[in-house]
Amino acid sequence: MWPERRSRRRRKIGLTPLIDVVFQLLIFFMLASSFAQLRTISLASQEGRSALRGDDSGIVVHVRGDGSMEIAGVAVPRAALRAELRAALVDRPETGVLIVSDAEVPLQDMIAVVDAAHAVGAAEISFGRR
Amino acid sequence: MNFPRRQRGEGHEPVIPLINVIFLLLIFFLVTGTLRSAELLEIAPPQAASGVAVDAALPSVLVSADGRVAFDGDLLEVTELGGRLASIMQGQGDSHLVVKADGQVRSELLLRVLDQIEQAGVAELSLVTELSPGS
Repeated sequence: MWPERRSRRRRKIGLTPLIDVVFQLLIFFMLASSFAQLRTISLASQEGRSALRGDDSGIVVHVRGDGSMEIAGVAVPRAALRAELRAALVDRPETGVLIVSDAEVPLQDMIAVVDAAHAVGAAEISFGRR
Repeated sequence: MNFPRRQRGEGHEPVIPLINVIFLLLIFFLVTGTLRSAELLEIAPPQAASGVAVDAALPSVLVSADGRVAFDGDLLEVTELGGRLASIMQGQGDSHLVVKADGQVRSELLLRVLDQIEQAGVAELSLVTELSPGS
């Protein structure tokens, strides 16, 4: 009777705390881990920025507060931005793109232009004021 | 024929498969997730399709959606940032800095931050984005 009961009890004790600990670990890692994949986009240096601004060497994209865009002063619909940028870059492949935006434009809208410029192979990208 | 055996099983559910599944989940989260670092400000970077992997060792300037700016573990005014950066960047030949700004930050604030960074003589500057789910 005795030996049998003792061994049965010992087997049962081991499992529950193990499950508790593993559950705790699971919940910790679920809450503490993030799956966001962060990337970086490099921006042109100060010299690059002033060079872009100085003459007509760079393509200037203007993002307005209402979300509309202009390339070199000509209004461009958002959907056609990439095509227009590609057309502008065809003649001058090594040109940079300067993104100027109104004060209230969120960064996300500026990054959309950066994405389009990257996709069509712009050499250098920088942000500036009007 | 099968009834008595099944009834015995109903009393205590098998625990081993449960533990197996939990272990698998645990290992999944261990391997695939990266631990979120505790940063001073809560920031959701803008989504972009382009960009290269982040170098975590680089110093970063944080800009949150509500317009607060932090660098090196301290909340700062935008005007203080230049001086603070200059003192830290001094003596580094090719200084490289990362700006982690929220997607909702207004361009006016971002440009003021960028101005301060350029005044401090930072040679290379990059902006943190989050890989958009579609790409």
